[in-house]
Amino acid sequence: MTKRTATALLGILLVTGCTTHDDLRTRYRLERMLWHAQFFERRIRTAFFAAGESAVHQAIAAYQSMVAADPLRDGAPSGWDPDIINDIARLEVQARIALAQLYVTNQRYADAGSIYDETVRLGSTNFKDLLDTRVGAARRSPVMVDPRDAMEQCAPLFRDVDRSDVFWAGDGAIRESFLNIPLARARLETEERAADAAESVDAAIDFYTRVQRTWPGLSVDWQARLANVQLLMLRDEWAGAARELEVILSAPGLRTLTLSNLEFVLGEIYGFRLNDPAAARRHFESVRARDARSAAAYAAEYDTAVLDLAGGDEAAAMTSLRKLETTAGVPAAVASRAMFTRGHILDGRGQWDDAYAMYRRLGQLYPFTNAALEAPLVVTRHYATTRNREMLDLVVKRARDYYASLLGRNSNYAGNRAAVQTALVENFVAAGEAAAGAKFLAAGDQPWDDASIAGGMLKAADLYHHTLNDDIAARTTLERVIARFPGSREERAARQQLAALATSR
Amino acid sequence: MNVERSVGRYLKAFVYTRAMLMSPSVMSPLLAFALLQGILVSLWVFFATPALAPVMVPVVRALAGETGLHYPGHLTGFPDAYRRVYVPLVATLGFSLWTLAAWRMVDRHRNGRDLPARSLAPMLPHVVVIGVLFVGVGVIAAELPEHLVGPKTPAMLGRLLIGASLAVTAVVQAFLVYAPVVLRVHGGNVWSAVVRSAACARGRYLSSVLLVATVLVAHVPLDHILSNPDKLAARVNPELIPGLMLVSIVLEIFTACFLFAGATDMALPHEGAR
Repeated sequence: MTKRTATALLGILLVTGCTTHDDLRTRYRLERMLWHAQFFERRIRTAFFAAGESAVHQAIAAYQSMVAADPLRDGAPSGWDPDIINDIARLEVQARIALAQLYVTNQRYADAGSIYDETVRLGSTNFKDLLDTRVGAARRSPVMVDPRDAMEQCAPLFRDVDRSDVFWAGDGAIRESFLNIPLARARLETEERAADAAESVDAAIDFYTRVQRTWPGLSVDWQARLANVQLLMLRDEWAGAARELEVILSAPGLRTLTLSNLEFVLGEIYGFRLNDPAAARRHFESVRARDARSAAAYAAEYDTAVLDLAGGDEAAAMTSLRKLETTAGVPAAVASRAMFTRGHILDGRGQWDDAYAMYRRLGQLYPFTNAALEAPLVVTRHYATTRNREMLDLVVKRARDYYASLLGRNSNYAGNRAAVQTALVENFVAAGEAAAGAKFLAAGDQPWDDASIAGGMLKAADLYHHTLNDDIAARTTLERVIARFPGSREERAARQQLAALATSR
Repeated sequence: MNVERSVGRYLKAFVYTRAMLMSPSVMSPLLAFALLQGILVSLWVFFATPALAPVMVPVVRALAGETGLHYPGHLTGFPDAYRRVYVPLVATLGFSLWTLAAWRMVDRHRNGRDLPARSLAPMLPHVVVIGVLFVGVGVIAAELPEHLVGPKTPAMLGRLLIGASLAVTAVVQAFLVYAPVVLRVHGGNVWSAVVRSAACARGRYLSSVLLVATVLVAHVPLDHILSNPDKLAARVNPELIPGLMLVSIVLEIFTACFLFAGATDMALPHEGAR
């Protein structure tokens, strides 16, 4: 290659690339920051407990620096490629949504709110992205945090949607998670007995009625009807809920599975709310006739047995329950509940040994069901009442081992671990061993995941304060939670409980 | 074929390599090529810095397309883009520098130190052609399984094809590996060098194939990891890709030294006898 050729090539290269490519470089830098923030977030998702709080903080810090580095905050610099500007805006929205969700996970609601407001104010996102931000935040709330905080998330979201012309002018293709928000908010407020719960229910019913009117015949119409049924149930308007359900069930084209599940709910309303066992039996029979081997059919069979029991036909109930226990394919929740109920009947008949055997077998066969969680408590209460110390010690130890196995770091139990801890605490209390229970949980040395250990320590503090009247031990336990789990939800809960302790006595 | 003698010759290559690794004049061409590659990797990795962007953005776009201007596509697409630059580079400049190192190895060998001096510059066109042949064999053999292995090909068959391509490369390159040494000893042109190299290999074929195969196999693990950059980026970190490429470049210093030290040591008693 001659010098002249080399110079020409270099010249061409410089001429074609003489721009500084600031837009492109900025996009690259932001993409890199986003990837690394998502890397920390993936670590949280794949191993939430193992990753611990540090990964959450690292992810938050990474997203924060990305949001802080937003080059479009003061408008797009002149001369930048519009496509690259759009890419950068999209990256920033992605980071904001993720950051808001992480704030909610970490109970930093004020920060999450600021991100929403800032995102809306910047106008750099469309309505869908805005909804994504808030839906994501609100959807996580009921699962992970205090319901009151979730309500705070749902309220502005619902307001935005209800007032949005973009939403009502749409084609009705609304995601279920989003459509459920007014219902979720009303349900949370009712469960929390919030002052404006009734207003929330009314507003939600108005919203769903408008959805039905705006998009009649579409799937959202039927989803809105179902939401209204649930809202009527929240209002204890069981007759109205049953009527609405009858209308929905009469609609053509409902899938068999949906039909069975809805008719099962209708049967339960008639049987246990409207005291109309005949109508309930009719619906339960219809569910079983549609597909005798469906989960709804087995649940309907169980409910029929409960109705038999309530009607005084104990023999028929026992026969049905035994059948549910022995039939292959019955869902674990139904089979275990049938065993639990049969144990209760046997206990009522004075056949405690048979009942005890039943409860033990239930725990062995279906250890992950709610019935299995409740069974040790019934057994403990029995031996506490009959003052059989030897058996009481034995069953309390067994119960403790069982609950600990569910809470273990390697446990396959996928249910609510807080409920397991509540059952564990109740077991200790029922046995008259609240102090031992508090000591066990306060030690915090169990081979459980961090959240369970911290939750257990909080429960221990609660036991010390409410049951054992030992505020010093409660305070010590809470201080240990604060020291051991800094920056966690449990730390904040412990601080709140400490503050409450200071003012309570 | 005396297997014991062949293995002995092959093992002796390691001893001679060890001696050559201590020689700065032998190592300097190998290090220079590695340094050049290191600079190329750095230019790619830091393309988005203000100083490099004006020149490197068009280069990256040309070699890796628009994906190359995004993260992590810029790094996951790097092994492929780099291969496009590396193949012509190693066949010309790389092979020339390796030949220079081989000539210096000859000059330090007990059977070569009395040879009359010879300048590499006039021989460079022949060296480059031999380099193209030598590298071309490897490229063609590596391309074949890539075309034959599809997503539905059983994994075992895929591995067998890759193994076969390595074997074919070793078998053919064994005939060419002595060419730089032959050029130093006898001079001549491409044709005569290839013919003499093949003749030299025939006399010690097993040890020649083992020599080339060792070099090829040494690169297999890293090449395999780098052949799935997307997986590497998703599971570990995209930044690991250039890191592993640098490791591969360092490894190449040693394997090139081993290849030509071995070839020199095996060829010189034979060539020196003529």
